[in-house]
Amino acid sequence: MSRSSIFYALICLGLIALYASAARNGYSPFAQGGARPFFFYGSRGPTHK
Amino acid sequence: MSTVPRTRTRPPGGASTVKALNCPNCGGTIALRAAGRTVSLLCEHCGSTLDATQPDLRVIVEANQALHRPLIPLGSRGELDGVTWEVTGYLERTDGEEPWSEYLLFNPYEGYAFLVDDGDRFSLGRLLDRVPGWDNNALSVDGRAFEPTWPTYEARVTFVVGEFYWRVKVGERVQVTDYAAPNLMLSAEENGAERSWTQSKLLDRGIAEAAFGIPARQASWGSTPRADEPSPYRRRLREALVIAALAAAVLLFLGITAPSNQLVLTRQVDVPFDEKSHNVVIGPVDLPSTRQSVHVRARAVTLNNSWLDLDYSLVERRTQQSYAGYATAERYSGRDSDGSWSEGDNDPGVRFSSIPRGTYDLVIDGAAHRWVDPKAAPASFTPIFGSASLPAQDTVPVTLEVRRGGGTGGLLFLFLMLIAAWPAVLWLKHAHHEARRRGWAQSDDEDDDE
Repeated sequence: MSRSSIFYALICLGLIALYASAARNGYSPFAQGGARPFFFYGSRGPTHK
Repeated sequence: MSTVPRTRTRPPGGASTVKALNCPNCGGTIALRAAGRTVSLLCEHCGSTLDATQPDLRVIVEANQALHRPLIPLGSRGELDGVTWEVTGYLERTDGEEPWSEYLLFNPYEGYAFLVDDGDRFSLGRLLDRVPGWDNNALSVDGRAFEPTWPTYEARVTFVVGEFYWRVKVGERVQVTDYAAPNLMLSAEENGAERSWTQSKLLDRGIAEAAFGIPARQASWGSTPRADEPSPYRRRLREALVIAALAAAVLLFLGITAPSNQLVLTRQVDVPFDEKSHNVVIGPVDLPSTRQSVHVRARAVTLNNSWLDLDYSLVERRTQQSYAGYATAERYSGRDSDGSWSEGDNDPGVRFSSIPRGTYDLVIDGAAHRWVDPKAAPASFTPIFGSASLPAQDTVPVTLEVRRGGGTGGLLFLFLMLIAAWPAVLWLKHAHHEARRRGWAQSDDEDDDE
């Protein structure tokens, strides 16, 4: 096995550990938590033309 | 340009011995290394072509050009592919554009081979004792398929020294057609009277140099790969795909076996219109795990041509630690020349990431707003056909649903993408190499078109 493949395998192990930890802690990079930005207040309406 | 040996018939069999002879032209001592097989002998002192089948080494052609010494001296021995070869002859050829050189190698048990030097890489060629097969529209030898490369070209001998088993001389011309497979080249050589096939194997860098004790050559990065040059990324790509498949299987297993989300709380609240903000607190929201994600979903199915701003605060009862989030529920509909239309999400969700264990209250600040269509008819207008607008609502009923856990699908997808990144890079490099390697034939075709 080439050196780059061994390095890649180690990275994969790290990613698996990271995923397991993130899933266990309920972490999501796509979470929408946070206060509403000020520009999100105001008039809304359809975008239909 | 070519990198393969040119036409020669199959050498005769029989025993061979080394003899020391004198050149009848210059008197220099020359070694006949494959006596009994050699037909033509080029004096390494004066360059005269001698007839090695005659006991007195009759001169066939006197030297007419300055001699120069090959990079690998005649008589050198080296081991390639487990066979010890001796260099008996050397010739240089050209296709009119690119020159290359060939060393004739000899082993008493293996016969002859050709060490071809294109100035960058060496390859070891052996004459085939059979005609290649034809499978799936490709030439094949021992199950390996060879694809056509560039059009047939003429190769001409420009220099020759040493001994050969055929009558080689400067100016000898053959028509050559090359076929390539990764690491291998198959060449058909025709001289009008006969056709011979040679299969040559591209040697790894430094192999021939180490075998014959000449300086190793450095790879020239960025140069166009040879037609028979295998992709340096193929092996790494195969290894990376195996590793990626294993890693993806583990990730999928972890994702599938992860606990799904659990419903914690459901409440219905009414948010009045035209109020700046309506505050509601619901709870308790019990979160028993050390950390977990929390998903809050607001369903406002009666919403029509209006929108609802919802600001959430998940507040821990004991510590008053607060986590904020927001969502907007909206729904609009109408009718135009294309017919009815509707848009907007009246069922938005928001996910809180990594919320610690505790008992929480969910504080909701809701504000409902009506949307007024600027192109709509005035309120006093009563349509002739169809019904008038529905009576305006005073409040919007919203069903709030709080769940904990789950939501790892996006995370799983992200990590699968990260794992796939390196194989994707290798695949692109491999494909680029193959495109450039096969580009030899395409570029030659384009040249012909011009």
